[in-house]
Amino acid sequence: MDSEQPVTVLEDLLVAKGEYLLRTAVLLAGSHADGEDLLQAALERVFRHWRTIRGDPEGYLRRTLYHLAADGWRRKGSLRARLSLLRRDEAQPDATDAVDRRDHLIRLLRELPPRQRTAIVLRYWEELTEAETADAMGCSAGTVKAATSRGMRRLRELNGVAESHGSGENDGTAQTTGRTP
Amino acid sequence: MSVDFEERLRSEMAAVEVRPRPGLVREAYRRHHRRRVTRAAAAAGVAAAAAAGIAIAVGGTSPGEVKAQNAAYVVQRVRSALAATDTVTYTSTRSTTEPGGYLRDTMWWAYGTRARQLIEVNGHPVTDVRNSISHGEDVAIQVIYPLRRWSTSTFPAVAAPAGAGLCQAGQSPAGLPLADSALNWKNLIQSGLRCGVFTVDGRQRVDGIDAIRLTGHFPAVSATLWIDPRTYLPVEMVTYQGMSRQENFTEVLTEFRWLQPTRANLALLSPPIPAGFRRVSG
Repeated sequence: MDSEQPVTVLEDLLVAKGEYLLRTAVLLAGSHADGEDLLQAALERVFRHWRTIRGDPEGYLRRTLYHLAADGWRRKGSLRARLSLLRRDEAQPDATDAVDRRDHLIRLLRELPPRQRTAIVLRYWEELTEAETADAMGCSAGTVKAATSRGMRRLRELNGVAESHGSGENDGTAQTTGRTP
Repeated sequence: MSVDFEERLRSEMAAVEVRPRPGLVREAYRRHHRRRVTRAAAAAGVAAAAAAGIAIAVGGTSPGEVKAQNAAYVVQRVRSALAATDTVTYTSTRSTTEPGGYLRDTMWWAYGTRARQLIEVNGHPVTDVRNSISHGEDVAIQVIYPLRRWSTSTFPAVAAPAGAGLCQAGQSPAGLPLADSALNWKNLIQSGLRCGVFTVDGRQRVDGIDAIRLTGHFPAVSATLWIDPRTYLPVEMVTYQGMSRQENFTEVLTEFRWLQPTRANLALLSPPIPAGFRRVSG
């Protein structure tokens, strides 16, 4: 069937490269659940534009992932998180924080604004050049440079704060809630 | 030192555990297909096809739990719940216009005669406005982000046009006077429930809620509402506007939260003035 063709092609693609693509999506989105949603949203968009895609669907899928992530696709989720924080009246320290240090920086990465996070993931995980990252994100190389540099600086700051607070035995309010436009 | 940090970041990135879920592609295809069908139906003006207004449960995502429900019954319960609720209404609307991927987010908070509307374009705040209406006057605080300014002003309150709502072609809160638009979200849905033609399309999980999926056809808009079966208040709504055979359309996703009027939630009705913003006369 004609409608089955994109399903088969993308299923084959995910069999071959699903883990890598999902890891990229998880890094861009900040969590496994959000990463899955992001990948699914990108797949949906590929289906929508299937007839107009020329060449490699993997390239299109990747670019869609990057675009969605850079556009703050999951900001809705962070809004939900902000609302639930307000309703709870106090921040809830996560008991696993102190134990699981393996993905410490990954968790700090989700504190960054979407464009900074995307730039860092594309530069340090996808290993794209500044020009390639700029092309993928639809902005200039200068913007990528600035976003990467600000993001890394912020990441170091956050890391410094978290480490100076020891193993998570603070009052749980170290989480940043401020907006960085 | 710096290289160490970058290396640590890279190694953590490589160590993130992922488990691709089987069926991800088919799920995405089903979602894409559902949207396409909804858009096509709306574009073809097949609202009449649902004229009976009777709900037929047709297998949502949890078919085992789906019960045949009468759409009129669900609509009546939603109208009563909206009329009775005394909560801070939080509404987050995301409009996506294709092609071009233009993103506009509008967040609304409303309670009584106070409302706040924060607009962001492509992720950047543009305006944050609070209106408070009393004695026929609308006292507004406006924060204009691109100009780094804020101001206050008072002007006569403007009422929404009679009959405003989804029953009028192309009507949405964005087309109503500012204060009314935020305050009238409840009314807008109420009016839509009065004139729309609905079917219940089973259940679907939204935000962890096994929500009732209510599909409505209005004069110019096709909308799907997800209803919390415990409270009968809306959880989420999707409308499609400007549909055509081409890809040029706007999809509007609206989330609802019905917050208790606690001090913290009432504080959300006031826009924060960012440091360094200059006050100007309204």
